[in-house]
Amino acid sequence: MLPRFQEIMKRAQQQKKKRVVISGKRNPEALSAILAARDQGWIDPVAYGGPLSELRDKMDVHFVDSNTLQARQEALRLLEEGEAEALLDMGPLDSRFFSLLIESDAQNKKNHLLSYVSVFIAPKNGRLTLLTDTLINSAPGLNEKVHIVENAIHVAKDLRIDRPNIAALGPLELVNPSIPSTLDAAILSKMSERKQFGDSILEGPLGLDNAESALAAQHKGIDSPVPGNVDIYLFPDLESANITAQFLKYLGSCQLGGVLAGTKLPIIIRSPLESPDSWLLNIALGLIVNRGI
Amino acid sequence: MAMYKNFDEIAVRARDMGPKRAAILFPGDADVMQATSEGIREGLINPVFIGKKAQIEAVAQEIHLPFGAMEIIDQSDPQVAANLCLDMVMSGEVSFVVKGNILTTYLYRALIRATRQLAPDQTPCTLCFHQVPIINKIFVITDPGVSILPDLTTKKQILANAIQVLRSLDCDTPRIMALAAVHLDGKPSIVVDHAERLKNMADKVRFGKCTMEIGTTLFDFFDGNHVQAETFPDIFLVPNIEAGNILVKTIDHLIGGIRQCVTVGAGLITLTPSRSDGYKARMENLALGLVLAESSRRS
Repeated sequence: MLPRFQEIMKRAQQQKKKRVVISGKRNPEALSAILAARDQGWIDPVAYGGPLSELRDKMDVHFVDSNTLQARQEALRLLEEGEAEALLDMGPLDSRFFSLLIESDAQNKKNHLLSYVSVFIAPKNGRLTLLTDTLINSAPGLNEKVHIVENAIHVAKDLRIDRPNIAALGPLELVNPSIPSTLDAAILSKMSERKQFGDSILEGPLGLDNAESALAAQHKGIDSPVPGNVDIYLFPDLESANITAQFLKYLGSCQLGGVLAGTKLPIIIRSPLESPDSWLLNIALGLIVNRGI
Repeated sequence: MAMYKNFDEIAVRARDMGPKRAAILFPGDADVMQATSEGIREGLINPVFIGKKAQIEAVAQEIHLPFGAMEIIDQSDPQVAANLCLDMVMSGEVSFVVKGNILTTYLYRALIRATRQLAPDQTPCTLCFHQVPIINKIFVITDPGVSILPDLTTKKQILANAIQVLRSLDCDTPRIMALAAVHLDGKPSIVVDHAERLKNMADKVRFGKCTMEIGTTLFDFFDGNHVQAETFPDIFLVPNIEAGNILVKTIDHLIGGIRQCVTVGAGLITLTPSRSDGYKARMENLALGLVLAESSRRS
């Protein structure tokens, strides 16, 4: 495992052990990561639902007369009521699960959007880099992007990136009224200039080439500390984010982790972008971020 | 036949075909002129310069290029110059156009105009050819350059265009993947809908011999970190300019790939090299343009 990911695991271990409710369908890779996290003292897992009753020899199982949906509802209720400190859902990730999450989220936190942050280590400089939103919001408008940025900044700060540099990506650096993402990026950039995102710097629109190279950006007359030092890539839409993450994973051989952002308490999942062996990393990420939105 | 394995193979083929006449649009810049001079030396091109004559001569002098024998067409209006370049490709006076120090928009506009004249049912598109370390084959991503948010008809034209170009490179039965994301919100996705309709057309042989699939994951092509080049797609169709543009640059900067871009409409080839390209990249770009121009003429 890469050193920056090892640090994240180490931090998960240093925290106070959390009581985690487990829901979803039985998944062997998830289970082995749960047991590893338990053995390392990160979590105290309790499973919920009939489909998980066969885990009895490994951990407590409650609600054995319920199906996956009912057990998920119960697990979310326990989380909302403070009886558990985190939830881990073994999957499958489907629209029904997300409807449940969004409903429970709405009850909890009034208008805070859920988004997903993928995490990888940039091969050329070993930098911990965040990509968002790679999973949830299909065609975010400006309003949604403001939440997606805030969520990602929150994740970055929990990952000890104190003053994140954010590149709002687009196909070019000029604002083109025919390309809405360039308008959104320009407005977000102005919001950042006016300190509406706290202690962070957002620059955009930026093509990925200029986001990756300070020199290339200078050639284009972009005077900003973000190019060449990006911590968070904000994508125009789900397609661009998800497709890019796929190529990084497979063609770039990058290990991806991921974390659900915008929840009140940790809800740990694994997106199809991550390999099954990323479950343990996702547990660690889930445990050290998502605190105190 | 399968797709070329790498740009070196294309360069070898180009040296057998060259040199060919190429129109250099607005070369009034030392980098562009240097690249042209190297292209001459490598036996790839015989250039015709179109732009501001005085400026071209000044730059030629600056880099010690003898401009007495150079063919220069004096034209200071960028759009008129771009249109003239495409007219020269259409008439067969030159094989292809190389963009110099000029906004790409002028060249795209000229190409769209020329494509409409020659083939009104076609749309030009940018094809990015990628060579990456872990795959022993070049693959193409389209369209990261011309169409912002293509509708189904435009995607169909983009795909037909890309397939035609790959066939001219002897890739007889291109494998195509229409890229799309999984949508967890359960809402219908226009991207997936387009991909399904295009696949349906491909299955009914509307694009000639090819195979097509809808791709939400590249998982199936990989066995651990090992990729199966024979089943890996030759063409990736992206849903919009944003996804395409970010993806091709990600492959350059985060995946360590080499990219060469051409923009094609009605068989007319235009090259848009990058200012930051080094010597090898510039020669590979000219070689690709030459092979495509000659192959599409032949087919």
